[in-house]
Amino acid sequence: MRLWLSVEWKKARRRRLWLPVAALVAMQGLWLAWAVRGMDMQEAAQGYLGCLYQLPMMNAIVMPVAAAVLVSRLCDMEHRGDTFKQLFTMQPAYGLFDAKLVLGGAWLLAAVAGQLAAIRLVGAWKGFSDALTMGDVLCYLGGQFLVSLFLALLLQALSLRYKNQFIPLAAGLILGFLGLMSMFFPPAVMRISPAAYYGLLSNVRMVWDRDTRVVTYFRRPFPWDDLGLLAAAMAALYLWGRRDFVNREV
Amino acid sequence: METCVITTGLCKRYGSETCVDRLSLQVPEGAVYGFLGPNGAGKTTTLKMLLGLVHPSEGSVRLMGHELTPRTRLAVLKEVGSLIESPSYYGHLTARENLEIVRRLRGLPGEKIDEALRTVRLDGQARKPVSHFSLGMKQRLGIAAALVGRPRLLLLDEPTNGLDPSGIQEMRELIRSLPSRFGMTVIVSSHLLGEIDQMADHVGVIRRGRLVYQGTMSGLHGMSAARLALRTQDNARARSLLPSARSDGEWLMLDAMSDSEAARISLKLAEAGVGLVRMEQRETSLEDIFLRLTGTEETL
Repeated sequence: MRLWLSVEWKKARRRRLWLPVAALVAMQGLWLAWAVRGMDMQEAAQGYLGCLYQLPMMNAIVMPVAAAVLVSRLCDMEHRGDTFKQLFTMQPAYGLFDAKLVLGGAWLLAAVAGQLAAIRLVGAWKGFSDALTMGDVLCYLGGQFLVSLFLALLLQALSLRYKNQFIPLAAGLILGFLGLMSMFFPPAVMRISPAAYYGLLSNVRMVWDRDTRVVTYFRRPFPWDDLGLLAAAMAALYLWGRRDFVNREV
Repeated sequence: METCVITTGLCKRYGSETCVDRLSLQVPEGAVYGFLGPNGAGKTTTLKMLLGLVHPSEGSVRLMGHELTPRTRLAVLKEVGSLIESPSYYGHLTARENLEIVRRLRGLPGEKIDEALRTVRLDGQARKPVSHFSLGMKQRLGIAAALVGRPRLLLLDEPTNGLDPSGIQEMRELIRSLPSRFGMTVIVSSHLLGEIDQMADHVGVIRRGRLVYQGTMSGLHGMSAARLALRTQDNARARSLLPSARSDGEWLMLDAMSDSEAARISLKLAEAGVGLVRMEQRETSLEDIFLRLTGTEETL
């Protein structure tokens, strides 16, 4: 696996894979800064929780698109260079599939870590007085990353299957749209949309008091049942996508 | 001479269509084996089956004494280089970086890259992005990738595609020299008889997925031996007088012979009262043989 990963890293040179990740984090950081610009002390008392609640909602809309761009850049070079017929005489097809997934996943992990860094920076700037605990960080990092990895897996399967990269990019847009729409539906319906798991796996919830018009954020136990559901779907998708790729004649 | 590649009853079917039909190839070690056939005859599919890129519907492949199975495939292919259809490359990387990927995956030392680049005369362009290469340079890079590590067996599918005339000549000379320079066995496919004639010492001719000729190139040349064609006023009677004659439409065909023998035949016919209308020597060109083997109705 180390060899295949080093080869993938080598291939990705000059492909600017950092660009969609950097653009995503920069855009989300700016949005956070804009959202908290007029925050008073009372709101700053739950500033971190607010960010940890809002960013997953935003991820549900923009992360599928960013993941589609990233994955497509990783896979498109193989289609363009007609390289499968050469690579498959030197490495197993599953090795290529796994290495691409790990590399794509690593960039998405960097994106989620970048989001946390942006939250921390905005918090320091506006003087958030609530605590950003290690539990919050791990829940955010783990939950948001796993959903991103699931999307990357789905998009990679499409990107490797079809030469026309419009298909995975369109799938990314559709997944983002479904992520947006899912917010208007109850959790049972939300579970059908992959991008909705960004919100479902968040450990922060909020209540809005209609009379006082005050939003209160609070922590809840990590939703292990939703994580289990996502993990099962991911395992099934991984087995299907990998087998589909491995059995293909080139 | 040992056999480097053996296929036994190799078949590939897509639904009801048979692309490769019970193909049994025998490629001797150290040979340049020309795999000849019209477009769509099944050459590329066969070469892909030799690499395990396409799964045979039936039959088996043996490379360098090892059975090619899903389990053994990558180990066996460590000693096989290939260029199938078009060169594989990453346009955003340089020629050297492209070959570095091949080198790493094959687990070879670094100097093998320079050697391969020198062999195809791309050493001066090693640091240029491949997207800036001409088609011919990309083709050379494809050959270099196949040559990295000097594999024992090289499969080249129409390797002169996209090359200019001097590049074609250079490529043919390179292919011809590989067995003596590096001890390689080369299978080179083409739909051009002249090209195979210049490069190969063994040849397999495929038509609609079936092997219609396999043997040495000199054997194929042997089939183009001169013949004597006769037309008489009574071919049936002439044939009874000349037992070795074969009918070919309005003509009788005899193997080539000396002038005195031809004179003796004409006298024999005259004595029997059979008027000799025409007598001519005919040469069957290699092209005629190829067309006869592959079917004239197909485009080349």
